[in-house]
Amino acid sequence: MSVVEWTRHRLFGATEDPVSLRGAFRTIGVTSLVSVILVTTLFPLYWTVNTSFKPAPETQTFPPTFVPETFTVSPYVDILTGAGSSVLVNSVIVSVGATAIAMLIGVPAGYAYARNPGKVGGKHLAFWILSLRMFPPIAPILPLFFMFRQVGMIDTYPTMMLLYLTFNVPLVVWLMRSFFQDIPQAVEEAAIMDGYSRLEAFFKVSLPLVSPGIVTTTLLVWIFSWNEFQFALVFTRNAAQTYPVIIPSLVGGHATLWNQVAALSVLAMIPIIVISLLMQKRLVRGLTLGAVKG
Amino acid sequence: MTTIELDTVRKEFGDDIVAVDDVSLTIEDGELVVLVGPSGSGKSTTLRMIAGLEAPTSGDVRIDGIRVNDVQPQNRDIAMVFQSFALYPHRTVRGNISFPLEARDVPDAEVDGRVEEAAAMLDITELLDRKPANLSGGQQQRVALGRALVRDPQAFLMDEPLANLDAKLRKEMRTEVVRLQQNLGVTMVHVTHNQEEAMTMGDRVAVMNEGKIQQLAPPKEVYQRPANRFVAEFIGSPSMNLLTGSLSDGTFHADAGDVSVRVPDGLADASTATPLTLGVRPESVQIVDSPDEYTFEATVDVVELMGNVQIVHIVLDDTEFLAEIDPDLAVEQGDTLSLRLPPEKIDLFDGVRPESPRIERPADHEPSVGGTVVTEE
Repeated sequence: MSVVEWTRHRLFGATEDPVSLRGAFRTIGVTSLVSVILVTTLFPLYWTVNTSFKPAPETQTFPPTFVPETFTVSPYVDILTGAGSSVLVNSVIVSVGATAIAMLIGVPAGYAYARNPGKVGGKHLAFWILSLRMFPPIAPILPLFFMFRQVGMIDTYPTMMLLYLTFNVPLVVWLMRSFFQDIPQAVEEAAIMDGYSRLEAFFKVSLPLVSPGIVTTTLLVWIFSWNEFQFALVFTRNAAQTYPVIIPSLVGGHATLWNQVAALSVLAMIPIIVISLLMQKRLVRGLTLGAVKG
Repeated sequence: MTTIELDTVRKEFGDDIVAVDDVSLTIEDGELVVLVGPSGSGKSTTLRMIAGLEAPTSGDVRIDGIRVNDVQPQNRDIAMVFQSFALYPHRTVRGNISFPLEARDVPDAEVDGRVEEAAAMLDITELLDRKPANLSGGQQQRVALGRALVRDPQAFLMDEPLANLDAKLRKEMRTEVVRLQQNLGVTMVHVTHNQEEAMTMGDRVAVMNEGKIQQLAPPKEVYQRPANRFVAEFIGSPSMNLLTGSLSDGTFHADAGDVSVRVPDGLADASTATPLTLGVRPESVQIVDSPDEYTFEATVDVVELMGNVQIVHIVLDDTEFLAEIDPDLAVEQGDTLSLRLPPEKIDLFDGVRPESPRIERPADHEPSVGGTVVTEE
């Protein structure tokens, strides 16, 4: 079978009627589009991984090498023995703490807004919370900086966790509000009629039913906190410094340690990728299917 | 022994919506009372106040003579079945039915036995380990019933539980619910907008409209002696024919069409309002060969053969008038018929509004419905 024949067979199958021809062109179109998107999004990722395994001189060669000529893990060793390990630990502490606080505040608030629309905090509080996410984070940085400095809270874990509430709480409240709205009130009322208090009904029925939503929201909030740069840059010096801040510091005037930058980036990506893959199944909504008929 | 008492219970939403308007109602032990009415008539709100899911704006709810206005719904020991069934999707059928027992700290060994028993009663034993999403509507309905009866509650509240089922299943479940209620001898309040369901299920029927009970009586009485024009029109299928018009010299002249028929003296004398309403059920209308003072002539518009009866539609200007007649009578579209309204079957309503009361017939013409007559306080 010649290449031409094989291609034609793969594309058009046995027949060459116009319908399957059109279908074939559509398949080619979709495949090309997806390929372009995949290449443009995955190439930087590939290039980062590629660079992270090169010795420093090889990162500067031209033309660049598409696989490391000298494969080495020393960039990882160097960054982890240097500043890398402490900033990664800081990032874990700050992001997990910030996420936990945001969820503890946002989930009950979202529930309250879902069940009592327009009643909690008057008509405007819910929108005000949302509006906190509308201004650019750089806008409140200066006043916040002076406030925190006044109480001696620069470069601490609690500071960073509190700061991240500004963009995380609105997200949690609004996402959880819509997840709770999807749960019919009758299911909670049924639990109450079955002999449970309002609070028990919440914990035994509503909360389990929104667990896919909670997983999604937690992941989203955690990723925002994990990657946050601006607040971290301004509010940390050393003790609470997170990994996004350290990366630009590796870009020096004389030499930039691209391989270490890449190694730290890869290390920072790993937890996000692993957690996303693990949670993929739970992210799927639809646990409430069958709760209510019609 | 469970009686439920509503004492001038009122529920307002916001400033100007009165959902339930001073309703008083006593439901006896072991009785099945059906609250029936169009949507927005306040029947569901009334039920939710018995449940405790809504608090009355004023008035008292009493269970066994004890005021429960301030008792939380979970402490009233009343089971409720919802229109949407409201099953717990994250729990199996077994988990759904055992849920109310878990709230009462029933020992595990006993829970299993009672769940099995309830499941057997409803014929859903083989479904116990499935999730609600994998059940049909009728099966979900049975699970919802099982969850209600497993804990042997003081009373059952049913909030349109049959409305989401298809017609055939609805009739089956109707019978089943009544059988359960009778076997358990439990007090039950059933809400529906379906008058047929109300007629077939209730020991007594409370017809509601605009937040008020229009009539509270056994089904037969509601049908034969409707308290007012609203009840007359709402109960019965096809609906009672209602003609507005006026009386002169014992003869009723309808506003629509060329209808003038004599009404019994006793009725005519007792009327006070003009205009007023004449009502006659389609099955009471007779087709006769020789006209008399109780007949009028009209042209047939449409004939529908239903099998056991045929329904003749007649258009009187803007009013439709129905006659349910013997299917063997040869009647065709365009025929002119003499329709007789038998005097002993005619009802007069003193006015033209829904709440216009029915005028009592002279004693010899009043249908006997048996039992005690209970009317609104």
